[in-house]
Amino acid sequence: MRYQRLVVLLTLLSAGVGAQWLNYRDPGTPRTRDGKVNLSAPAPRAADGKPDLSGVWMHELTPVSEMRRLYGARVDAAIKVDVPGMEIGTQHKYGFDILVDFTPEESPIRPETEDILERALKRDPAEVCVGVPGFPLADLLSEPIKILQAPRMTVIFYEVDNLHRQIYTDGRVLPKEFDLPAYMGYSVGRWEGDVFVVETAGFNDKTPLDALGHPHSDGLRVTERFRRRDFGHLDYEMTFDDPKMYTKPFTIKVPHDLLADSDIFESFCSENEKDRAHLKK
Amino acid sequence: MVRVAVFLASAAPALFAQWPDYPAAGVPKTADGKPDLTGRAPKTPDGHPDFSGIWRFVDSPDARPEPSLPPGVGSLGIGSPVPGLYQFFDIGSTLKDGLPFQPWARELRKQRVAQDNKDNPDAHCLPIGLMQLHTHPQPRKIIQSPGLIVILYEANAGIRQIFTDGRPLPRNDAEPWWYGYSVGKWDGETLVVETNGFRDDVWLDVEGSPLTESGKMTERFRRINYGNMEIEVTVDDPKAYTKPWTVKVNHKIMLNTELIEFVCQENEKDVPHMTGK
Repeated sequence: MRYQRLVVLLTLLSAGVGAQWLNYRDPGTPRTRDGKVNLSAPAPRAADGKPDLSGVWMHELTPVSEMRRLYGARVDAAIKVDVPGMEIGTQHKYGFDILVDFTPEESPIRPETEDILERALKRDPAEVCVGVPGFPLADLLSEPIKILQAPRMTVIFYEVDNLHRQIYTDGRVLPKEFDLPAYMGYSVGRWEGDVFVVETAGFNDKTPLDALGHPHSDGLRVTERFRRRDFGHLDYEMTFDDPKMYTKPFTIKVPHDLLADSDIFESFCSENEKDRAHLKK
Repeated sequence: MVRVAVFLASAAPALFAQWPDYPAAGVPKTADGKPDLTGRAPKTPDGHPDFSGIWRFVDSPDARPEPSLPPGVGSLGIGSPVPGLYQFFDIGSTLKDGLPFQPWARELRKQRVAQDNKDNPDAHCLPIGLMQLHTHPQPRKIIQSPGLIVILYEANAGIRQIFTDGRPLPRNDAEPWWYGYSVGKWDGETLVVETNGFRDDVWLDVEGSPLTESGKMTERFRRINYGNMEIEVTVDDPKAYTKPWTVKVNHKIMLNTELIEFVCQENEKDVPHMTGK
């Protein structure tokens, strides 16, 4: 029943993509003899010897058949209103329901959190372009991310709504308190061997974790682990720890594939926004 | 006055909150331990000047006050007082004869001023072009890495990529962008950035000096010393201007601070109340 709302929710989440940005052939990209990108070449290294995560990345796509298995007939309804570039099959399953792996008995959701979720499901769909999709939803929809690993700082750019996160790698620790809770939080990163570990806190509580509307509190802490397995593949897992909302931490794994010779687009929800006037409660 | 209100309304949310302070690394110090802003500009490992840092716009001393601008607009409560925003409102304010508009462009700008600049993209939660981002009172952060320089703008959460990996500018086939497509190369200590691929409706300043899709921008970034940066911007847009023109924009470093998030759409309720016909 709950998944019935997904059609509306998804339609609102993203603006039209579809235009192609230039294909710039990056001379630094390893290629096989026939000129194709060698995605299984070793991961590149930054000047300091750490693996270099820089690149444009797309989460693995959850196929339509799997979406149908998980989410039922509503997926077919959603396919009927597919928007080019945002078709079912271009998102990640956790973008719909971050707790989809759990049976109702095992779910870490607190009863009070269920109530918040129920209210979220009744929210006014006309709230389009009002805030931002937030974390981690911005990386679970149909659009890629770009990682830039610079000295003392790694930045993740999300094509969705032109969002970005700064991850400080200059040795600072997470502040204990935050005067200014933020949509994308406050992140510090460190290396454990070849794994880049990012701790994030300082979130505000204004964005849900997924399209369904699973909430998080401003006490949410996230640990992300990135490992660039080879040139073309990035292992990426996120652990969410939010005792106010969930009884125990939970982890999702979202492997990413490199989009070689590509880039992210500009995306501005408020540009040409004309849906709001036509949406009904 | 109305114009100022529109501008303020679009620029003002959440300016007082702060991230935790964190001391900037590598700041040259004077004998008494204070930051020496006249100290030498830092370099990256590859020997080029390092522009990384958070920067604030400082109005040019040559900028003429615009007669239409009421006094007191300079201080917007964004921390350090801004001496003035004449260049932000009118990018031609340092030029003796103003900008060399084509007749239609002059007429368009006049109309925009008469309409209280209500269609400035900044006032509608839309991205502002590169020139307004240079002169905007909200700070910007430069992140310089080999092959790619990124500028994060607090103003309207703008993001700009400057490719320094040797690629050429795209010819003709670029998808027009709010921020265009930028490539940079080094000329001694100067970073020379060329940009094309603009949309046809760029506002170069609050008062709506236009830039068209035929426009090309060349920026020469020079970090004069630790605390100061100068950007010389040349605009070549034969559709809107009778000849190329050049202005200088000055920036000063901001230490031990950080940008804050700016989500314009959050609680955006201005548009129905805007005046101007």
